[in-house]
Amino acid sequence: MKMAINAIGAVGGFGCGVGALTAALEGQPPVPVSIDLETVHGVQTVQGLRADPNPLRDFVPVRVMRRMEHHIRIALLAAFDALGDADRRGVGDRGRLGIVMATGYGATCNSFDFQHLATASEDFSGSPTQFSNSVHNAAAAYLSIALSENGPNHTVSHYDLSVPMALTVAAQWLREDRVDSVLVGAVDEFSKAQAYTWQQRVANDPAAAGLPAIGEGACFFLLSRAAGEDPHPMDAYCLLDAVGLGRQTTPGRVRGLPASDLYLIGADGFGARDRDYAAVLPTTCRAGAYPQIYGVLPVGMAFDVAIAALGLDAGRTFTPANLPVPGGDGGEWRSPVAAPCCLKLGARQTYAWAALSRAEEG
Amino acid sequence: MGPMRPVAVVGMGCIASPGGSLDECMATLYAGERHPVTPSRFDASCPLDYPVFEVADDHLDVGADGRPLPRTAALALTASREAMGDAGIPPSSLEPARMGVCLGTNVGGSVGNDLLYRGAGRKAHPTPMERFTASNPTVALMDAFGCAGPFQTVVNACSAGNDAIGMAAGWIAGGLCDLVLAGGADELYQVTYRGFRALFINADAPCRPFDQRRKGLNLGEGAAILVLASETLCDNAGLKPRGYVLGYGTAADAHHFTHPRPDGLGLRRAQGDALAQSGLRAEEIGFINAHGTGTQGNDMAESKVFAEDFSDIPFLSTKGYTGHTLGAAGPVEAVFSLACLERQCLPATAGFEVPDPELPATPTAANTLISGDTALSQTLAFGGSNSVLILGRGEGGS
Repeated sequence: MKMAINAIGAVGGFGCGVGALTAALEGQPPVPVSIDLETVHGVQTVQGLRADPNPLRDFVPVRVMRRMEHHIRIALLAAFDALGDADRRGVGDRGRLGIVMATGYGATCNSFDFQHLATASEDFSGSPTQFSNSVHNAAAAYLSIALSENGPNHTVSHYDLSVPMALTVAAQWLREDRVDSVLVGAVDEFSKAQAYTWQQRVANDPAAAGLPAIGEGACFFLLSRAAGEDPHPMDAYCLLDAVGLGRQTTPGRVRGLPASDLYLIGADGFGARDRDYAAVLPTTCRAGAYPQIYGVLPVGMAFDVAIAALGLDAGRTFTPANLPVPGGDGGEWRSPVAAPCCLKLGARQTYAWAALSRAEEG
Repeated sequence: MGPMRPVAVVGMGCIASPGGSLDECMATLYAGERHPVTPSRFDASCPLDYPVFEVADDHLDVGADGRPLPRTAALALTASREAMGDAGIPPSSLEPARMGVCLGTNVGGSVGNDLLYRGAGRKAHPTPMERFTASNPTVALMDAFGCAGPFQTVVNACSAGNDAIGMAAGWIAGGLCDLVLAGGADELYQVTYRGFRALFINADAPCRPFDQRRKGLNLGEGAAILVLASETLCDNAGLKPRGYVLGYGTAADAHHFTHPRPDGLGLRRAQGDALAQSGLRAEEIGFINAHGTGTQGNDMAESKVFAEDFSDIPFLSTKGYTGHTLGAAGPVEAVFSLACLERQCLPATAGFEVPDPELPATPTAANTLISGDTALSQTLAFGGSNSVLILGRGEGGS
């Protein structure tokens, strides 16, 4: 099912909104901040990109916000940002709406602080609110309540392939005529465990200190059936032509990987499969990665899709990160692309790709 | 929504408190036996005994390399091996790229963090990704059966398993693949146990679904897997379906995080979509397998909808035998429902003895013969998700 990306909402270390994301891409990348982690080995300082959920106050009563964990606030802010973007772009009646959420870490990312679990007898689940918010579908549920939306509500969590999974759910719902549009989002908060691992790596290899910082954020899309298939066409950034998800059975080959004039790859200088991208990409192709914008987090592919969509809409490309990966020379790219493809290689030889193209002329 | 061609269920597997296989479980249910226990694998540390429904350790399979798997993955693998054995598909008929896995879980993929945070040293995987892949049941099944097609891990709380089955049926109906291992798995986990206790949802006695004296739910653990197959695979491999997925509906209450919507709006919408996809009317349903947790709110909400929209349709809850197995609940109850259709008999609702005058509908109080070919099986989740399956009787099986 070909889908249209009608609106985008984004929250991360770069700020809030497509304007902030575009500014970061145009030469103002976010600067990591120092974060102190309390660990069983004492306080350790790491670098991270943090998101500010406070603008959520414009959409949700403060008394309600108080009950929400950080990752829920980030997610809801990005969702409302997307809906605001839809209003600004003149998107009309959304019809029957569904909600899909992707999260790599889930809601329990930081439920257990290092010190709290130092002793087995600690009753770390004493708070009913904290427990409720630790259920993985908490963010999607809060969003449905905030929007009074009774449509389908679905959350997936499969580490760094959660985003393409969510996109396939949206496509399936539209194909089955369960909904007319889908609010698809992804959220991951700053992971203390990931940051701890990052810190250990940097401590052992000073050269690694230049790698992208651990990030957090949320990115939402309002999707609908592509014009021509939908009796209620809405303005679109671009089209999401297809999403592929599977497991490699032949080394160096990703089934169905479309030809593309720009591959946005999910390399971050941190992942174990970064070195595998060169083997699966065509020998002559343009490829880039953008973790310097949103940081290292499992749902990074959502930001890659947003970046591809913004580029298609603006008729330009953005300078990728300087990483030791295909296309990662950080060179300036000025020529626009017509068919970018986001590619993520996951654990156990799994993969996912999302192919985009320009929206049809209205 | 338009109708969907029935999706064949060619194999089933189940492991839960009542037994290490689907047949063992059904025998226990029809015998009216249940085995709630005090949690044995973690420190409940509580003055009251909130019983749970555990799976015996010797029922669990090990991984392909002979080593034990994390418990949720082990539960899923055990049920999957039974299901694939039940399906009896010749390996030559299977193409890895056309085999998918779609599972619902709550704790699978999460529990690995516990070891790291406790500073367990050598026992902890060094990175979050490695911990995730080691404990995620979807990954375990992909590894065990060589599946290279679509895959998904659904985490919609208590409705995750039903949603996984519904999504998987859509994959088959949409031609994305020819076989899907669809279902759910969840282990008993102390965080969940304590969390439910903090919410005052647990009962301090074996649960009593729809009973006037009900005080809440009991947690359980388990897994159930349905092998869904395309018509092409069924024809090529000569498979006899044990049942069919006829329809699936999902909708949100948008009401409260832990309490179901009293007017059943979300539930009714999900039921309506499932029935529309199946092409059936409510009165054509043979019986209903309710969510039936034994909490005041859930049982009231369901009973009201049953009385108003499915009057004269028998219904039961099987959670009195299994406890609430969270992400596995929907699949466990789906395979129970298909098994009941095969046997044309419903077990009694364990724990139900005294009707509640406040509830307009009451479940089966004894083993009950039925004559229908279809069943509706539903789950209501934390966060307000309602997930409904319409299931049909097949031609194969016991």
